[in-house]
Amino acid sequence: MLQVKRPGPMTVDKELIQRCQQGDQAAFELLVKKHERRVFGLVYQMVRQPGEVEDIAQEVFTKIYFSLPQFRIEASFEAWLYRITVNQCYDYLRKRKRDAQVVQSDLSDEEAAFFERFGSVTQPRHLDVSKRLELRQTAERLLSVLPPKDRSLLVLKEIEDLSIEELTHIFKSSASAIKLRLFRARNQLKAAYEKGRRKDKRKQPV
Amino acid sequence: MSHQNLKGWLEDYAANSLSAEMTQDLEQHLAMCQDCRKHLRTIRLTANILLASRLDDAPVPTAGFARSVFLAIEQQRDNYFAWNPLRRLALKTVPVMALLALALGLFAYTEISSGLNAQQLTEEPLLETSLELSSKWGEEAAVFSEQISQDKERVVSTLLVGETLPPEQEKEQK
Repeated sequence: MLQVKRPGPMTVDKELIQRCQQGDQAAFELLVKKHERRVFGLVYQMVRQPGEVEDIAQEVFTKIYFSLPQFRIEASFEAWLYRITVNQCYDYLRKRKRDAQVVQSDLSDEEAAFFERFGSVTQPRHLDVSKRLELRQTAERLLSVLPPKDRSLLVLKEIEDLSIEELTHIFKSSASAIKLRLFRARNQLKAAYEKGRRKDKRKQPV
Repeated sequence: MSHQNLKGWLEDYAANSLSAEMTQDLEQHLAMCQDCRKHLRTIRLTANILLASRLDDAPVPTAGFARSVFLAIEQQRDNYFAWNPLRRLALKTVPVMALLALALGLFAYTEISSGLNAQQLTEEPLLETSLELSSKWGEEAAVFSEQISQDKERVVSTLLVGETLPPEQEKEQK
């Protein structure tokens, strides 16, 4: 089973799940409160529609509630939670057919320097609000080239900081298949970035 | 250490989670390998794009979010419990039905084949009986003919013996 990265919270989860399985509604409320921020963050990263996040997160927890009696206590709750959240987001994106709205982005030298500089995004506090917004929108346009499954894989790897082993449990794939998908998704994203750079250079006066 | 193995370490290297010894080995390799340098750049670039995509803050759950989840659960409970047992029953029923059909098929097959065997068995004894009978009759006929031939021989020999009896024996017989 999934290796326990943070033993404390996982033990708490198991206790709460056991109580939920015995019909304790207060325990379920605690479980929701414990994970709601994480679910909101992941849903937002996937669907990018602030107005939809709460409804999708509500569906996630409702599904969890009704599926809890079948949940095996020795399995990883976190992996299960991520899987249900990602699947719920797929359903939403499938209905919305968001992939049709891919917009190519031009990348200025300044933006490119920001994306290329290692560690620049991990300390974004020095950026002013308008610059942050601009960078976020450019990143969002670049990410829109990825299909939802690849995007969710990269989000879980880079933002949620999950290991390859944890990803194998969420996507029910082998480690080599996950690595291959990560490799392809990264190359696709880099290709979109380089295309944006070429477009911007063509626009510049000689 | 091979190029492929060292390339596999790049993910951890980009995340600063390699040991000091491994980092040193990989950095020596990176100085010589353009392919690995290119791959490392891709990892860092895409990680930065992803991190930039969350420079705004995700919506935060409101204080009443858990309450709204319970309301949604209550609304869906009836539907769920009305449909879910049926769905579960259907899911359980399909394999059971398949097993039953298989068992029925096997039963029918064994029944038909045993019926055919029984028919063959009832036919075969008749054949055997007739054969036995014929052979028995043959044997009896053989015994009878042997008896006849023996009797014939006896009669003949008696007659012959009677004709050739010595005179003393004839007197004794008288």
